[in-house]
Amino acid sequence: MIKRLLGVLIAMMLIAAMVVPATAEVKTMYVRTNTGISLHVRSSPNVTKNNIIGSLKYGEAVGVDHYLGNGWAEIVYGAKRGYVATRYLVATKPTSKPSAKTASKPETKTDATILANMNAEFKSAKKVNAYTVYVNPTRVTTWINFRWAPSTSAKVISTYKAGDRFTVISELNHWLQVQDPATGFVGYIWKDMTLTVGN
Amino acid sequence: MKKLISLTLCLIMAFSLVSFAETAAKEEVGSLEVNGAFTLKARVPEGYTVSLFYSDSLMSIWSIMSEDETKPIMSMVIAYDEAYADVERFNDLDDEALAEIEATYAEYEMEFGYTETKLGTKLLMATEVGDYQDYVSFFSIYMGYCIEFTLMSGMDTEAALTAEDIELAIDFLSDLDFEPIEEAAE
Repeated sequence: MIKRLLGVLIAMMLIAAMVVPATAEVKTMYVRTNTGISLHVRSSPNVTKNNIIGSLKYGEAVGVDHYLGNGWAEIVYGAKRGYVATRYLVATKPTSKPSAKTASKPETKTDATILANMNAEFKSAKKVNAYTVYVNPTRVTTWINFRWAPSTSAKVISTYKAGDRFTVISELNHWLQVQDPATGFVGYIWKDMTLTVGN
Repeated sequence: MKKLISLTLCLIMAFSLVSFAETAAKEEVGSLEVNGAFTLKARVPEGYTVSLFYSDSLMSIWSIMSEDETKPIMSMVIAYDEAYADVERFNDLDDEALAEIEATYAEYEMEFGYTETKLGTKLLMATEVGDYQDYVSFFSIYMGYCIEFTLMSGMDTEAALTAEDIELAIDFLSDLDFEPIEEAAE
């Protein structure tokens, strides 16, 4: 009798384990907008006039339930669910708001300066465990350059738009050595034009 | 492979909501709607065709190409940016906001100047400084969407962009109409 009850109890526990879903792991990310403004939270993963349900401040933590793969993520927003554009999420809490930029006259570089800067970048390279970064241009409508060497004077191999992703191979002072997972090509992109977003 | 040719022009245009009177009917650019927010219409230059290169809920990229491959290639990117969510029109931006946009071009090693089109549109002129970053770029904002238009030399040609090429792009942009889409009452 007791054995039978134990057997039933164990069976019920096993069934419950299968039926009751495990709590999904929510990843904490932080809001980072280019100009320090708040980020809209929306009731659906698109931009419309009437789907804004709230906002998140710059640097605020947000629980990401999952990424939709189309530039949006579903988040935990109080007692509700919401959606935010992933290009404004980073894994590390921003330390300060971006300061207002002003245009400055570009420095005229000699060939010797260009080579010296490039060599300095190469020497600073540190191999890392591969991780994914997403293209995040200063202007969302522009692209970033994928170069054969870590210098703005190096020839551009190709250009990439906001949201495109790379696999990071090594980190340099101002550049990342990356591989395009779609083509396999390896090159360099400007570090400040990327976002690290959890998978 | 395309080669971006240097020029001394980078423009920022203030777009009006008023259509210009035209003798020729305007053709719509691509699929008419931008995320259900507004409709974009333009007169496509003769011999050019417009095609949608990429589209998702946040960004659309259009290519405007001539049948003649030596002719310049134009592309237009329209993307929503939270930074301008409350901006109706580009000419609503204050000097500080304009300076920030200028600074983003400076990151690509471009210098600046100002002029006007024949229609009185204020233009930001920029000169490329870097060795390989040569192109002409036009920028505006409408209803929170950034619109960036780029002119490049034709495929596999070493020829520089001419004044006529620049005029073609300016005429195209001068004719752009932005019409908000009214949501149907429920």
